[in-house]
Amino acid sequence: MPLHTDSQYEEELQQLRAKVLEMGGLVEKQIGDAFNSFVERDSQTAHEVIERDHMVNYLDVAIDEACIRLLALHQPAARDLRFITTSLRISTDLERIGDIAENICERAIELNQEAPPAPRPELPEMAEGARAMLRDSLDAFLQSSSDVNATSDTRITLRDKLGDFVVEAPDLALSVCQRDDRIDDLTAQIFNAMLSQMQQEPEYAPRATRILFIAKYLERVADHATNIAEMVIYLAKGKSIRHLSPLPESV
Amino acid sequence: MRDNITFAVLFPVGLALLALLILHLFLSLPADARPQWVWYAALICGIAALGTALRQRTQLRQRLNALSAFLSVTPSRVLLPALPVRKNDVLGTIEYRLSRLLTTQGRHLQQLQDEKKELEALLHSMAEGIVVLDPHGNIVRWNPAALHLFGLDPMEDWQGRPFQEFSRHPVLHQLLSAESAEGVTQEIEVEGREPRQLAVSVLRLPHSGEYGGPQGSRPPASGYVLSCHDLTPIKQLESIRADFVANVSHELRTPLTAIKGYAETLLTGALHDPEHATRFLTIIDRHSERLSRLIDDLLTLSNLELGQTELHRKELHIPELVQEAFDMLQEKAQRGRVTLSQHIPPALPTVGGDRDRLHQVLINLIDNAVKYTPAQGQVTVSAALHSARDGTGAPQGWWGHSAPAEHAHEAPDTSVSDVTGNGAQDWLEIAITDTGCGIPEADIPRLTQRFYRVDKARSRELGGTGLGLAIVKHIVMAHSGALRIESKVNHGTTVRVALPLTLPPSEHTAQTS
Repeated sequence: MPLHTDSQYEEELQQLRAKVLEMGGLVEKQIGDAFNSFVERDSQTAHEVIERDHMVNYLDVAIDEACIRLLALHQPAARDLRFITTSLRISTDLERIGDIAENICERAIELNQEAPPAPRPELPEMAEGARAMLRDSLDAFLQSSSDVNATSDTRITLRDKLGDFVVEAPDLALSVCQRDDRIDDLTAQIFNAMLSQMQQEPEYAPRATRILFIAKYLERVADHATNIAEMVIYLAKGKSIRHLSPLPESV
Repeated sequence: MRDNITFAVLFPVGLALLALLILHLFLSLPADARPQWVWYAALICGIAALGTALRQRTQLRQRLNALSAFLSVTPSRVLLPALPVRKNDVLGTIEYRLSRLLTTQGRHLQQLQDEKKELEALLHSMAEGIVVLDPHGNIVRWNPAALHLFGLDPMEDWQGRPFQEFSRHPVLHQLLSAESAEGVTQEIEVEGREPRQLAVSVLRLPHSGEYGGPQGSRPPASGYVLSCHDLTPIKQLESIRADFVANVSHELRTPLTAIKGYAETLLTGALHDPEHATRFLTIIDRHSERLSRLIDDLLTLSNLELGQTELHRKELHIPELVQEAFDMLQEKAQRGRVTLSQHIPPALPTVGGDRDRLHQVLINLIDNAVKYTPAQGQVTVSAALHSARDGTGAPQGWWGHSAPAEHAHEAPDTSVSDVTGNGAQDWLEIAITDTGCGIPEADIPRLTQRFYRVDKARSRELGGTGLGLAIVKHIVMAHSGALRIESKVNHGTTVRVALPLTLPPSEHTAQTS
């Protein structure tokens, strides 16, 4: 966003951005805690996550209002318009992820009342993958909505075990979209494994169903993270890559 | 005080009046009685009055110009040359006072700048992360530790950017927005590429100046200071400690359960059954021996880790030590039908070390090798000299002796350190090679952790305490040496111990004192 002569407008845009980022952080924690409550069989944490969902909803409503206000009062154009519509959509996706975190907690609480299910190695990988996708899509949003002057670079320094490397925000967002396939594959694996297990031991069915649900929820988190990443690409480049198959090599 | 200004104004005016008076008197006389000299006197008076006035004006203007020039340079300079006080009049007093004011101000400015530099240096050198925010939540100041703790790019400029960009952690935002959160410390986990646990607290900076809000309400903060302290190492230590306690209790309980069980059986009647009684007593004996071995090892290890073990350094011949170890283990090796052999060049220099400790190292390592080598296998001890000059003196990937933190806790990944830090040295390397079952590569970095066993059941069955290699590592490290394990599953293992031939001077004084 370039600097605006209207300082109140500028201020409101900044506040909107801060709110989206705050909501993103909250949702990241919600989903992390939700999965931990499942892994560690900690119903207490699960209840806390469910209670905290109202904060996500509150931020969702606040962002909606801020966006509509900005649209109505300032008739923004070009990049500002893209930024506001993107924020509106990202907040919807984040709100959905918040609900999913709540769902995971409900399943975790139910599972905790039964004997521990056999661990599935796919689930932690899915959770880690989905959370990384969410984190990276939000990082990409943070960077591509970065302001002060329009020429500010949109590169992100990633810290990895192998060292630092720098990526462009749209490329990071694209990588989020590309990683979605892996999560889908893992869901299919769990689905097949649970199906055969239910056939073998019918008494395992209640637990298997819930694990299946959790896998599906995580897959949905990854989908919403992908949506956010797509919106970030739209924000940065002004072009939509939604529903494209196969995905473009670069943006 | 003589008033220069009054004088400067009155003198020309007086002269002018005098001229007018003379002129008036002159004109009041009849035309023929007017003397010529009066005419001249009036003229002289008039000219003098004009001249003085002009001179005064020029002087005054010069001084005012100097003053204005002096004031105009003030902002860019801290310490000014004193303004020359020209005259002892009102203007001179102003000049003097201004000059004094500016000098003190300059000194204060200098002090403030020095203090600022000090504070910045303080902020930079702190291990705690500090972020200062303005009332709107934008970043005003930060220190490198904060960027490090949150896993951010150290070169990035955060000035004026919203805190949400810095971290999205909801707890931080809660702390910042809550009125009552002052002084509350919260633990959070930062999920960067390197997860960390931080203790964070927020300080509200009090509003300075008058607050015009309603009575009883709190004035808004003029900013926030967020400080964060890294808990990761403490948490790691805590978990290591908990693991250790759990391990020790488990290891102690295993033989104790056996002893208790068999003692109870004996008490409930088996004592009078001589055949069983002997067998049970043998079992009790074996387990109590294991228990005492375990406690010995634990004590040795704890002394080594606390650095309480004094090394009685002597010049030692390695072949002698190896031979002694062979003598002790020959019988065991024969039982397992393992051949012991040594390839040690005859002319090896002596090594400065503690005889008993190095003996223990060799016994532990050769005993391990024999234990894990199947029948018809071979255990070979060889030695070689590595000179610092040919570059083989300081190999990579050893459990070396450089980081003091290693003594405090087990950190296998970080303990692989570069031994070159000890300076160029000649090394004596002792290698114990077996043709045993080998160790999977993934387990090698953790081998020297206390109670770490690759194959738990097997190790206990063979009478191991799980502490042998930890003891070896600590003894070798106390000798400023290094340890390295190479292994290939089903082919065998080689343990290399490198000992420096000359002690690093600091080490030497520490030991002798």
